[in-house]
Amino acid sequence: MRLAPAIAACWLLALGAAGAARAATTKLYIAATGGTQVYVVDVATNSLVKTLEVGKSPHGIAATTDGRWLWIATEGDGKLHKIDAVRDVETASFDLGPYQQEIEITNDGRLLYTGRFMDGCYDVFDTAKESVVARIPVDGNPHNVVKAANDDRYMYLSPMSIDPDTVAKSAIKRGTLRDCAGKPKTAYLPNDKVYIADTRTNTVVGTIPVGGSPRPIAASDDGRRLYADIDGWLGFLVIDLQARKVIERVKFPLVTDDEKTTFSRAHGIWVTPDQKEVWTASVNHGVVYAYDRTVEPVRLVARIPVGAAPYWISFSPDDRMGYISLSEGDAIAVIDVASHKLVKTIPLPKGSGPKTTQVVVAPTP
Amino acid sequence: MERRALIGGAAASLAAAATGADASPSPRFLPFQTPVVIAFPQLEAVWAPAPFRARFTKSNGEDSVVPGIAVRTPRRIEAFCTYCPHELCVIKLTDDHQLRCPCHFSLFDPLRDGAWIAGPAMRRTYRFDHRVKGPDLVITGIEADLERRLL
Repeated sequence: MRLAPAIAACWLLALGAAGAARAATTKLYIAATGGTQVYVVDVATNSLVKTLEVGKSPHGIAATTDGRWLWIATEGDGKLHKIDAVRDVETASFDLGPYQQEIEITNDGRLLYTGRFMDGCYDVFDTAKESVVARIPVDGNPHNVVKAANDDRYMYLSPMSIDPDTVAKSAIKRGTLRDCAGKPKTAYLPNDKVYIADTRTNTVVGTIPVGGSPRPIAASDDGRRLYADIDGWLGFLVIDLQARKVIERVKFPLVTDDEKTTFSRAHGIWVTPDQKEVWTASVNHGVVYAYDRTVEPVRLVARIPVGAAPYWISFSPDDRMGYISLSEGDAIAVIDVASHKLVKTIPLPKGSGPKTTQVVVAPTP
Repeated sequence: MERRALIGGAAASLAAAATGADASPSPRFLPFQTPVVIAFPQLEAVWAPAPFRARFTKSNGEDSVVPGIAVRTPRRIEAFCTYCPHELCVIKLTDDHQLRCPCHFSLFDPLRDGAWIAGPAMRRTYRFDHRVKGPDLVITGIEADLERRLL
């Protein structure tokens, strides 16, 4: 889901060397999961510049490292959309089946990983062959997938677990549950681990128990640490990816009576491009937390109220701005990373329900 | 007029049945530490929600606060718990008079006691124990089933 920093740096250097201010455009793409659109914001001005119609409930976003292509998964109609990120137009779409969630792509842009929520399956889509070339079965409900930007040997898969009653009702609604191969599934297994999938073989080569249903995850660029939100834990986990184990369980400090007595959960987590901080959020409390990750145990450096329920987090590649989707408020909160202050709110159409976001440095035509 | 207003939830199960709303059996309620009292004049305008928060004691002894809204619909005065049964995000009343979760977009029908319409919640909103007392709507408890989600 992120631009490899080495490649981003090359782009920025190229920009400087050429002295061409228009050699690339940095854009924020926002999946309006409550609707059918992806909104495009010019990061230079933090203003909405374009709306793309893609399909029902866009959810996952991933960009090629050169910023040339953007991929978007739409949950509602089960499609994968290929977007020309230079012109911001859709060039192709592929039907992968219902409930597509988050997606991630290898650094060469070849393999794209996408979870099918109700089928216990991550599909591996070959962008050159334009077909699914492998399927990775997992427990639970495939939702999130990330890579380490500088090391895409592995994909980290975090299927969540939903309430068994909901599974049963959903099975009734759909006729049956399906497995990876599309065959009827006889049992639903909840999940409490992160899977490690080898991108060379597209097989699971390890798992990391996390003690609950994993939610959004984020990897450090060097592939040494994974940070995970999990259900039932108001905070996040620090995972050593070499040892493949949880090394720290961080709890948010609850300050006000409201925070101490009102239920909330952690959702949305990402590492700043300079790799110094990890940010995550408490949804119902409307607070984003920034932690210094250059030390371990990690150290809280800022508590940022954003005024509505924060849900997903991304950053501009120059480390200046953090973008927090406020699904409840139909807006994007823009946070100055250095000062940890809310500097702007970008309003979006009512009911748009912004969720996943992705900043892309796209070449200029 | 206010004294004769019908209210939703458990106290209006007969009325609910008559109007085709969710008529599932009355649940067990956990009492609030202090009842919420909303005077009818606060609910004069149709579809203008009055938000409130109420505190109860969980079985582990800890306090918990539950959010809700009281609202006059064209049919009656209702009170809805605004925790979405799916993942406990806080649902909102939309301009087109539905209750909508901002996280995963479950929809509930305020004209049918918060009955589930669509989305991953797959059940109606949690119920409040509430009644009309004089010129007020008095909300005294929350459906006990919510507690297992909060422990």
